[in-house]
Amino acid sequence: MSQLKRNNSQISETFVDHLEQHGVSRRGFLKFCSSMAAALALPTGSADVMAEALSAAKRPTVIWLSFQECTGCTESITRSHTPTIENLIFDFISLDYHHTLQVAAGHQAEEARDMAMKDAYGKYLLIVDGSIPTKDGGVYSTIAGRTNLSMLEEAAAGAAAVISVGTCAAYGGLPMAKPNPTGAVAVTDIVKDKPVMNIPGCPPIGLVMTSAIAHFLTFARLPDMDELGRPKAFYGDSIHDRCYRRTFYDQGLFAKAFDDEGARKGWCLYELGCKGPTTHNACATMKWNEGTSFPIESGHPCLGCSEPNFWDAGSFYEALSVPQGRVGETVLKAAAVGVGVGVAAAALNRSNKSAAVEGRETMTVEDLKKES
Amino acid sequence: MSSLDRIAVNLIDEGHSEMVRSILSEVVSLLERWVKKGEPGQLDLKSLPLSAADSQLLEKALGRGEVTVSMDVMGNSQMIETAFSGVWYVIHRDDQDQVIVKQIEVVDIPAIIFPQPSEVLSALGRLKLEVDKIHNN
Amino acid sequence: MEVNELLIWARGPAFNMALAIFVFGMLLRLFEIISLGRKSDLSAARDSGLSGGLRTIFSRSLPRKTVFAREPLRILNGYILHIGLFVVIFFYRPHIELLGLDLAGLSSSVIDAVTVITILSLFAALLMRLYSPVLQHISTVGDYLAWLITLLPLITGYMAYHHLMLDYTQMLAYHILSVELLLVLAPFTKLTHMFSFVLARWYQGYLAGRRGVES
Repeated sequence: MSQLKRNNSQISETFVDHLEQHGVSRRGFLKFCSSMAAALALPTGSADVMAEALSAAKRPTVIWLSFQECTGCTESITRSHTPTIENLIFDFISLDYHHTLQVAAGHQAEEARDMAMKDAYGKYLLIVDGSIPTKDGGVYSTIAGRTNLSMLEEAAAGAAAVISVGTCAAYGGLPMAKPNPTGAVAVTDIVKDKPVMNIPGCPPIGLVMTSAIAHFLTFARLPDMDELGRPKAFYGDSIHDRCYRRTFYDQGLFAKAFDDEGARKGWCLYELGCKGPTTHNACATMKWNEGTSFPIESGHPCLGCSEPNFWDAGSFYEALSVPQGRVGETVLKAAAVGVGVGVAAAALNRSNKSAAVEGRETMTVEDLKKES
Repeated sequence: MSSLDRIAVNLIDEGHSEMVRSILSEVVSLLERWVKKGEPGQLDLKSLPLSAADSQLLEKALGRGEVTVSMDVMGNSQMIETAFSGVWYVIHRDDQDQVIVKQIEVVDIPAIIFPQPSEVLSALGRLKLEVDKIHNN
Repeated sequence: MEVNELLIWARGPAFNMALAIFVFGMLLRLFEIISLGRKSDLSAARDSGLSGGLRTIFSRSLPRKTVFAREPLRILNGYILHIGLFVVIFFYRPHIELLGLDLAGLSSSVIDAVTVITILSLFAALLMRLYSPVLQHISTVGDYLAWLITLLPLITGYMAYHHLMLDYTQMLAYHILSVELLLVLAPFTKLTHMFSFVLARWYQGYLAGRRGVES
């Protein structure tokens, strides 16, 4: 309990005070601001604006709720660099509840959440990963005996803004895949009256998560977003348009199998099912694991994991232009019906014709005379 | 340095890259603004699609000046003066030596080098304490 | 409907429906044509109708000097349009993948250029139709509909590739849907000629062959 109280007393502290206490100099702070401005693709000169804003800003309370998820998003965020998750937790935010990262467990953990929510009511940042099951009263996922649905409703009510991390929270994700046995929905299906930002991906790039959070801290608002609620700085371009293999697509050079000559030469993976053309994410520019590489660079086509319904969009290994479903069967059935109806139509035509022939009445000269 | 950098790459010197030319003319206009109006300027190199050959060309064109400042804070940083006074390369690395910022700054001396007055003030206090300690011993 | 859902629908259920209607409709039309029947020719054949028919299926693809001299532009434009359509449909890699063929494919820039030429050729055809008094008289709504549904896939495909107006995903969905519209309507417009030209030419050639005259 005493530790909880100490945490809460830190909420009023500004970043710069906090950094100084932790031995981070003004230069370190400026350096951090330039790196953030670069990561967020902010216009030049923003680093100074950022430094000024952050100097006066308070460390906000952050509550992180994990629902129907696999913890992959948390795994990914712990691999963020500049800022690292440690930077974020220790220097910039007061992460008061995250049931994977926090030390507290059981009732203590839930108490910490309640207290943080009460103390920073209307001001805290709510981060959600995982989808929310709604079928059968939401019984398919519960924490400390409470359904995810009721926990989200309660936490969202006091939040300043909500960030949906990962495709599950943003768009329903794998739990929502057909036939969606748990009635899973996205955060935006439940939270309607708060600003919500989506950071989709399965998982999202760690740096994108931390940078987007840092943006909220710096400017006290969410960054510019597209119509799917994604920050434009990271999701503005398609993978295909930023792909270093794009030139092979344009030249018509494609890998046709995972171990063929084209694959070894690093040609375009479109025919192996790459969804890069319809996928918006920063993988091709920011890359993964501190800029090491991204799936296409490792020779695997993009799955399109940051787009809604990517799991229901057909095979990962069939080209985007290939139609889905049983096309051969469709053709055979349609052909059978076509031939059948064609034969029937032909028979009908013939019987009409012979009926017309038979029905002809012979006309005599007398008939003609009568009519005139 | 990652192991990828050790792979031998044959750079083709094109000598007249469009990208490098446009960056250089941007630097000219930034420097002009600094000279005439005293407004500092920045140019982010990391967000530009520069090839390794382009980077080398640019470095060759700007050359090396007399001053290089190295800074160790949250990883190493280098402020390198180019052959043209007022034009600096600023490269920030994180504690894993990854380049996080690479930009050209147009200003007499990059602002990050200057200490804050409050820092100087607290330094004075700390120094006095230190000197006192030595005297007392 | 959200764009990704639209694309999934266009690539899946919609495509299957459209293809079913296309196959059904085309077979029905061909059966209708064949079953119309012809009066049996009781005269003695002067030459083989079979070889005449087969020959004509191909020979009619070549221009006739006398006809060409009369309307060189229209005929040339016809060639450009049909060859253009053939190239963009069968030699663009994503299309080859869709059709499950084993062709080499051409580079995007070549396909791009051919697409522009084909679109221009379609507009040239429209102008010729609008400004020719004869064609004005015999044109029906069906002709203009056939023109439009041929144009739409070309335009949407071009716009998707160049990211014009709409996001790629959305434009791709519209491109696929425009092709599906073409598939659905093709059997019921003059576009049936994509298959029925074989029957028409065969019949002409067959008759000419039996009579021993050139065709």
